[in-house]
Amino acid sequence: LSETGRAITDKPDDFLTGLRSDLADQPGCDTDLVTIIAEHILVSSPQNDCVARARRAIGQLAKARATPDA
Amino acid sequence: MREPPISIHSITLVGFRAYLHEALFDFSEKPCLALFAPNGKGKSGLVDAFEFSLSENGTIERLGIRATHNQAGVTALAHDLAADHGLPTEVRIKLKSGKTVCEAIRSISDDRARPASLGGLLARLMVDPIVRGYALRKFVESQTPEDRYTEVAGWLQLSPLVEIQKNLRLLRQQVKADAEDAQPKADINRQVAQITAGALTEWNEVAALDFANSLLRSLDAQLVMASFDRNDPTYVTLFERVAAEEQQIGIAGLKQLKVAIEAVFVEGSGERVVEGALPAFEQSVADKQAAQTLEAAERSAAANAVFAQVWAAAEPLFSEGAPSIDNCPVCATPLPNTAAGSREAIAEHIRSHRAALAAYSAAKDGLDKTARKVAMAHRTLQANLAVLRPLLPSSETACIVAAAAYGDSIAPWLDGTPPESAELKRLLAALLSAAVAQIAEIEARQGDNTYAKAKAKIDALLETKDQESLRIQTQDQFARLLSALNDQATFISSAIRVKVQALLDLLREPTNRLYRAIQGADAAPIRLDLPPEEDLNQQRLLLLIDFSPGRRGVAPSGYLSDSEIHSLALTLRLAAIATFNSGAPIAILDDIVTSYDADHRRTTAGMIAAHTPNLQIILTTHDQRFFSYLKDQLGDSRWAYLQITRLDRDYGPRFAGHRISDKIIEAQWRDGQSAANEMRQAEEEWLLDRCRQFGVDIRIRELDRAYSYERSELASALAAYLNSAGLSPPAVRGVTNRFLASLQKGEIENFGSHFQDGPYGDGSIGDEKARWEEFKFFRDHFVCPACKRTKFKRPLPLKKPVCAHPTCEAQFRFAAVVPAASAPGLLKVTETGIKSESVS
Repeated sequence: LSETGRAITDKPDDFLTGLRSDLADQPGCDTDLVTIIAEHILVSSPQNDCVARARRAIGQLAKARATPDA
Repeated sequence: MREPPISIHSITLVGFRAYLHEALFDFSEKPCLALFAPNGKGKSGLVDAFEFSLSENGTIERLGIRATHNQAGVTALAHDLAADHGLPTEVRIKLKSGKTVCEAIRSISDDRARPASLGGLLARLMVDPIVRGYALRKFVESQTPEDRYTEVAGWLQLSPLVEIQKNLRLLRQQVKADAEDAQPKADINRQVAQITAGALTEWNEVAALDFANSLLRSLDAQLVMASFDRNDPTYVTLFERVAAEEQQIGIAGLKQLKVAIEAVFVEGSGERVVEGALPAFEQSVADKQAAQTLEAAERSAAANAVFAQVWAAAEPLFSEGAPSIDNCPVCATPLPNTAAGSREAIAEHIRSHRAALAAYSAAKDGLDKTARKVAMAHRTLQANLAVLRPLLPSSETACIVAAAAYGDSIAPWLDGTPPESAELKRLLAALLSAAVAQIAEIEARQGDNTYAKAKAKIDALLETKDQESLRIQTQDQFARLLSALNDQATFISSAIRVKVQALLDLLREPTNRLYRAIQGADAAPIRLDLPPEEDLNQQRLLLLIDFSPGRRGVAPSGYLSDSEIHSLALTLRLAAIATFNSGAPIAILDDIVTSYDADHRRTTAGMIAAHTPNLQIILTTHDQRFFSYLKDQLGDSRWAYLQITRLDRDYGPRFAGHRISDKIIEAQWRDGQSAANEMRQAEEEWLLDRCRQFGVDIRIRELDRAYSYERSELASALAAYLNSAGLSPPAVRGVTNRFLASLQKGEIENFGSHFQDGPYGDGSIGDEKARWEEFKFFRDHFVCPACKRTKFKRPLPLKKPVCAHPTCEAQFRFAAVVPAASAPGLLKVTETGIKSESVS
């Protein structure tokens, strides 16, 4: 492979590390949501129920934000 | 420093698939191998060995792990006689990187664990190096864009990224469902309907306010809430009203009082009879007194009850039908001398006394029953009075006093006349009448409502309002989070898309180069594209061709022929292997051409020869024509050629050199198989040898008859050369061998069986044997007349070939040949000419 090719074919772990960082650096991004996505979804070996976990976490976040005084 | 690429040094199979005894495939001198065998002879075992060794679970995909459904499981990896022969089932692969050689042994006898020594190879294999012919078409024709994306992402080791995209897509769907979930709203509406007894069917604050005010209006027309809020002044007032209400008898209290009075005394009027514990008690006392009187009378009548047993014993003696007796059974007094004076008089006396005793007994039972009823009625009355007395309104002083007095009197009462109750009855009747009237009046005024009930309903509605507010806010947050999630998912998908598309672009040039090598320079350009960026489903891969200026970016299956589709799939895989597996440039090709035309086979072989110089290719085929093309075009420097001639169950595949020998053909016949293909191949090989050795110029014909390619060209050229050199093959009389005739005329057909009049026909094995003997008869003319060797050369400027042996170099001329005696019906050819000889 060319140098470009090798860079493109970074192993998924390396690619995901960079992607998590890039995502968090997005201006105005929801950092709580980034944390949830990074923890449950943006991993090379996700849990079997990672989608359910992320969904639950997002649900809890929505409820917490809906009742800020609670 | 970059590590040298890994190649396969050797593969050894033992007890594996068709290979019972150890078979070694050595690639140390020639890294590439073409292996030909008819189907079912064990050629794919070599590919299976490689797949098994590299697999995660120690099996091959088409077998699976367990024997279930259509899969045979791991068991099928082992040769069925391996255990009987005490042989293991294992594959040994030696890998070479630079000067280092390491061996990996994988067996099915243990846990089939993948050897760690294969780790280096696996790490460098981004694309699966095994290409199965049967799977190629699937990629182009039947795979969905989603499946194709998954597969290509697998080649490119992007499966985790594909998984991420799938998970993200699923998460977005689920969060969207949460954001749009109608269930919480439905729950609230159901709750509203329950609170308002169906007056409201869904939450609406204005309607809830109206409902609350309607409750309050029934209690007090002045009470109106201006807003449905706990801070509304009317709501504060409602608190106070509830507290006051608790201090007075409301409708509930009146109803309770009414029930309590009715339990003690209800005055009869009209059809209504007197009821209640008090009259019941008094009635039971009266009944008991009557029973006492009756019992006393009967007791007197039965005063002589002491004789009851005597009468009972004597009665049978004096009853009708009993044996006649003359004397008293007790004192032996003659019956006429007794006070009664006769037997009949004694019987009557006994009957009357016994009747008096029965009446007394009944009266006694009646007295006991009434006594029990009185006791029960007494207890019931006291209990009901105890309930009633605290409920009596404090304003009803007379009633309270009367009830207390009566209660005090009745408590110690044991027997005799009940306490006087007339006054109490009068007062209770009046109070009951007043309570009933009051209840009617309240119900007419405010229904079944009270401030407490109204407040409870309003509180429940206020609670519902809070829940609805929380629901709206939560749903709003869900919507915001969904929007943010969509943004983040788009960002992630976009990054993955860039990565995937870049990898796909790397594939485009080599894929098209290889494809053009097979299909020609004007072959339609191919590309693998992701869907447009705005497409939410990015996990798809579109395989497109630019078929014509008016048909750009179209699906191949609608425009390409079968062989073109096959070529496309093959070149795509080979390009991927060549591009991404540079650390281990290995391609294992299993039956990659099947049932296509000769041109396709030849150009595929040509593509492999011209465009895969850095790949180590291990190729198996059951197509002898393709095998032949490979041999012609790939040369001998890097390639080895093997042919499986037969499969011995108790040994394994048997190999031959790559040339078709007489033995191979005879082996086919021994197995009862047609050898037409082998014969044709042998003839072609022989023709090619002759043309090469005789220095024949070959003119490629116009493509007016596709099937007349190859062998006919060789035959035509050889015939032309022989004519020009004055070397005429001897005439063979009596033989109608079209091969010989056509060779002489330069016209050799090129279809399936040239022994048949029609193309693709099958001759009998007997025909084949006869024809083969004829061919051999003809072939054997081409021997050195001096040393009988069969290799020639024709250095320029010689017109005729000479023996290739350096010590001979005799000029070639056709020799006379004597056929074997066992070749019936053939002609005998001698040094001096040809003469007919029937040997049949």
